[in-house]
Order: sequence, then structure tokens, then C-alpha cells
Amino acid sequence: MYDRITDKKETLQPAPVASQLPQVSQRNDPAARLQRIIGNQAYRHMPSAGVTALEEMDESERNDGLVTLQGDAGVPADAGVPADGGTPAAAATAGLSITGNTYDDTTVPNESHKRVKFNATWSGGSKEDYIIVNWVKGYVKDSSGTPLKAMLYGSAVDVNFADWKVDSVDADPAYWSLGGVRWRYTVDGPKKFSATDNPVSQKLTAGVGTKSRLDFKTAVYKSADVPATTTGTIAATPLSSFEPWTYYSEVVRADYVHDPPLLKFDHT
Amino acid sequence: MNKSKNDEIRQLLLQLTTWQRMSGIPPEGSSEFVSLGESNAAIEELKCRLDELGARYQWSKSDGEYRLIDVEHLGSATPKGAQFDDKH
Repeated sequence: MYDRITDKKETLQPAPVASQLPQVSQRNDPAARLQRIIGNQAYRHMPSAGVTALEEMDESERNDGLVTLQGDAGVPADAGVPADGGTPAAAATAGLSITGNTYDDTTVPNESHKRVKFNATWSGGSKEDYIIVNWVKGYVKDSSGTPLKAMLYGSAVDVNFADWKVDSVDADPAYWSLGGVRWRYTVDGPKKFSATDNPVSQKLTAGVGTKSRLDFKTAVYKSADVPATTTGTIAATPLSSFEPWTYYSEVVRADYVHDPPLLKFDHT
Repeated sequence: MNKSKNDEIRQLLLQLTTWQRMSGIPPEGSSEFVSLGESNAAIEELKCRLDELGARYQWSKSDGEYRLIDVEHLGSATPKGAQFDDKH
């Protein structure tokens, strides 16, 4: 799929990018300053194609934040045995709340957004013992009723799911996992982390009749319970309750000239 | 440029490139593909952070990756954020 938008690198397929990368954990400094969005595993090896920025670093720079390579992307090195000898991961508990669950049809003209935030809390072990898994069901169709496509588990699929499926662009079910790094959340405070979601972003230019009807349910899982890869479902039981939310949007009128604006998106 | 800032920008651009590729959607958008939200949100967060760092970057269509143009210094008038490389 990816070579559809390039003119050279036919080897740059998404799936191998995710599946071939070893997980890398970082040492103390200086990688810590590279975190924020990427959690506590700032550096990682990339496949040879398209990694110019990393290639431009000299060896000492590359090694600066690298210490251990972990073959098992699913289990943090310190899982279950906190360094401080505190609560073992076996006593893990977690919660989840969702904020921002409202439509925004004005910030970006002629697009319908819903920017939700998954707010996770946890207790026991370390933060890497906990991951978010998002599930999706439903469809996105164009004005002719043909499902649009999305990337799931490294492959392009029709967005037309009768049953719940894990929502993950790479094979790792963990939300925001990428390139072999499972835990990439934003740390919001002690025992709190978060991630955001922004489905579809339906555009008026897609035409009247374009319709998204997606149901989501999101939960926090114990990382060790969730396999490193999935093709659609996982059997693990979440630690938190599932939080349901939706993205329903239909272009009902692609009319740009009226003031005040006419109804453009229908979210019922 | 401060080395740690430079490293962070490079790292963020690598992630941005990877998310863009994984999404299956070119930066200019697609009529056939949508994001179910994970990549949309990640890309948005990364661009926000790059903006905070004053990075100007562009998508190189021929190389299929984001490349750093420069980093805005205090008082610079150059616009930050994503640019598109139309030469390819």
C-alpha cells in the first residue's frame, strides 16, 4: 500500500516496519529528555529504509540512549518485580476514563473531529505493566456505500466490521505501540498516563452520503496478559471496565456558502 | 543547535515518518483510506511537539519520510511546521 504514495522505495511496507524491530529500553539520562510523547523508551532501532535522521547520528549519539535490547516486546524488563520492592504487579489494578468525547466541526473547517483522551490510572508494579487496548466495530463508507480502507495490523482492510476487532495499525494490540515499542503513552502524573484518539476526521469534500458509524470500547490491560501480536482479537480480560464511545458522522450537506452554516454533519 | 534538542527533533521526525507510513495515508490525504484514529492522534501529537520545538520540516515524497528543514530560533520570522516537497 505504502508504495502507492511514493515513487521509489517499494520496500517500505508498513508491516515489516512494525514486526521486525526489537524493543529497546533506555538507560537513565540522556534519553530521558527525549520522552514526553514516547514514554520511557525514546530510542529504537529502525529498519534501514527511510531512517535518514537516525543514520545521520554518529555511533556515540545512537548509543547514547541505548542499553538493552529486549526480544520480548510484550513484557517489560521489570514486570512484576518493582525495583523498590513495593507492590508486585500481581496486585495490579487500573482504571480508565475518557474525556473530550464531543464532536468538533469547526476548528478545522469542513472536517468533523472527535478528539478523545484515554486517561489511565494504575496501581501496583510499574507503568509499563499497563497498556491501553482499543476495540472497534462498525463501518466507514463513501457516498456509494463502498467501505473505505484503513490499516490494521500492518495491512489494508475494509472498514466494515460486524464484530469487535482490536484497533491497532500495527500487529501489537497495545494502543500507540509502534516499531516494536509497546509503551508510548504520555505520563500525566504519578500512576497516570494517557493517549489520544482522533478517528476518521470526516471531510465534507468526501461528499454527501459519506458515513462513519464506528463504535469503540477501550480498556486498560495488564501488558503481560496481552500477546505481542494479534490478527483481530485477544482473549485477555482487562483490568479496567470497558469505556464505550462512538464516532458517528454522516455528510448530509456539502454546502460551503451559507451563513450561518447549514447542517453539514449528522452525528445521530 | 542544542544537541539534546536536535536529537529530540530527529527522534520525533522518525516517529512521525513511521506513523505516516503505517497509517497508509499520504500527508496530503486520501479518498480511499481513513485512519481509525490511532495514527491520526499520534501524528497530531508529534507535530504539536515539533512545533513547540520550533522545527520546520517537510515530507519528501521521493524518500517517503519527513525531513528537517531547520529549527526556528528566537525571533525568526520563518514559519514552523510541516512543509511539502513539491519538487518530487
